[in-house]
Amino acid sequence: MKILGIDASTQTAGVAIIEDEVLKSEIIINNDITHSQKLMVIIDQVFKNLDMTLDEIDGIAVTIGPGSFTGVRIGMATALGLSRAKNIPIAGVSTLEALAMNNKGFSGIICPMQDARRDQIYTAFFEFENDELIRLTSDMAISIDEFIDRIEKYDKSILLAGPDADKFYNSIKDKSNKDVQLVAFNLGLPRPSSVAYVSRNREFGKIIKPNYVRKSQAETSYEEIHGKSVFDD
Amino acid sequence: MKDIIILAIETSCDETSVAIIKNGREILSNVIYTQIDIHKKFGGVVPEIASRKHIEKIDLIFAQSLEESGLNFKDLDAIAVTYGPGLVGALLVGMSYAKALAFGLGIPLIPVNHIDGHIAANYLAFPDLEPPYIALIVSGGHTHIIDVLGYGEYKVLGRTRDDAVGEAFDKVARTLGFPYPGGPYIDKAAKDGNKEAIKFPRTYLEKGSFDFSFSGIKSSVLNYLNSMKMKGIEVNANDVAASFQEAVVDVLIEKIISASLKMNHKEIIIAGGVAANSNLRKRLKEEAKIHHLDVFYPPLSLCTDNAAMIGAAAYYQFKKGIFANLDLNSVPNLKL
Ligand SMILES: [Zn+2]
Repeated sequence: MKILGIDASTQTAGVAIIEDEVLKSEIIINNDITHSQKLMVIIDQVFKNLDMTLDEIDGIAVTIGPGSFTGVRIGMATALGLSRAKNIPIAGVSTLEALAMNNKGFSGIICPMQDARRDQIYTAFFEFENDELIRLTSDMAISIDEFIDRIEKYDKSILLAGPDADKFYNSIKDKSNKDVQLVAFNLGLPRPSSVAYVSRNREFGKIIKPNYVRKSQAETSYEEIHGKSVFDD
Repeated sequence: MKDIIILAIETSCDETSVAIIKNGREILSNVIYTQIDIHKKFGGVVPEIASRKHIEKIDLIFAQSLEESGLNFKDLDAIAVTYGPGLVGALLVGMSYAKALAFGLGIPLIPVNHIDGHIAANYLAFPDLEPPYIALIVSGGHTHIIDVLGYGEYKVLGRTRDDAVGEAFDKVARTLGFPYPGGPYIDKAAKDGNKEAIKFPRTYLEKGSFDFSFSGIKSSVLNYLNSMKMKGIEVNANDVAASFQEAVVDVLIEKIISASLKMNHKEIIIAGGVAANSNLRKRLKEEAKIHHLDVFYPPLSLCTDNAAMIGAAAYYQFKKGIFANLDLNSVPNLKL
């Protein structure tokens, strides 16, 4: 089975094609050029690298967040367009789960994290059991202090993973008495190959939903004022 | 000649729309999902919510539009998409989807300026309309007088120096306590009001200029309402709406008629959301008649944002071979 993995949910944009458990080609761009300009170009490129066409793809996997709201939508809209054009089934993958997958082989708790601003991080806890990635918590937006509280209950090494792990590494290491480790420099970025890999056990279909984790600010303030959701009638 | 079928996508603001257009003139489908009921609750469009709704709906609206047209993928010659002006996050949803579709189907991608679309809405309504003519674009974001020299060939003769006319309508409506978007409410209230009740200023700027300024009239309406409030006098909202609308329409008509006469065009088209204003429609028609000019405005359904107009504009780009590459970006403040 050939899977096209797409990610634009953080500061990097990436595309990969895997065939069963073999990575055929992967491109990641980590600079300031906007995802909207680059994503389709590297999708085209990855097919050219392999002398392949979209027709040969059996499934499309795409990150659905959490991350940059706009980035998530660029990735998803692109995946939906490709899926629609060739009637290829599609699956959404949590960005945090894909980030955890990068660290197969680590024997403790894997905590991918992204700066969610407003003094919070997006995170979730995972571990590998018999080579399978096990999710220990749902995706959440929490403060660093709450994060430190939560890692206390694990009796294992803690791996800070994800693109913003280095930003929080020192303060977490200082405040926690756990064995806190930092992800390798190149495994902290979302890898589209991991996105595709994670999706292998998913049900592919026609619909994907974004995983923002947080409501928009307008929605939250509306609820504070009116005591109900803006989407309620 | 073979028919050219273009599938067009529009997501620049708070409407998710996909249309299929034949030869730039015939609508085979035009599905519009409007988010207006949600944004109404905020008194204006919330960009993040608009973008969230677009990604939720885009694929669904696409499927519905294709189904309504009765066509298949193989019938499509190109994908067109609005790449600006508009809300950046909203534009990016439609653009990313359109690029992927065009790539997947192996057909060209046509980048369309939203304003160009508003003008082209008239080609859908009037099969015989052809440039050159004068266009008045009036919406929440734009107030332009344009010399339309050919399909997609424009010379901007005048533009607003401050607020867009639709913006002025919305702001005045809000202070009168009308819901968002306020334009239609002003129009409706004005029908029951006295247009001569209050004398609001008309800003014509320098002699011969086709530019506009609506900040003056907007503040004088606000000042008027404040001073009445201070004096404890109850205002008649219908009179305020009628007097405000009359003043704005006076300026619009004066400028568009003199621009047509100066450029020696016989035809005037109006486009954009404010083109739905009934007073503007009626009075421009009367005034144009005096000067032996013809006025065209699209039906109400094509005045507000829709993808059909994008498909109409795209057709003329298709004929000229104006296509986009995969690195097309959206341009929130795109100029005509
Ligand atoms: Zn518009």
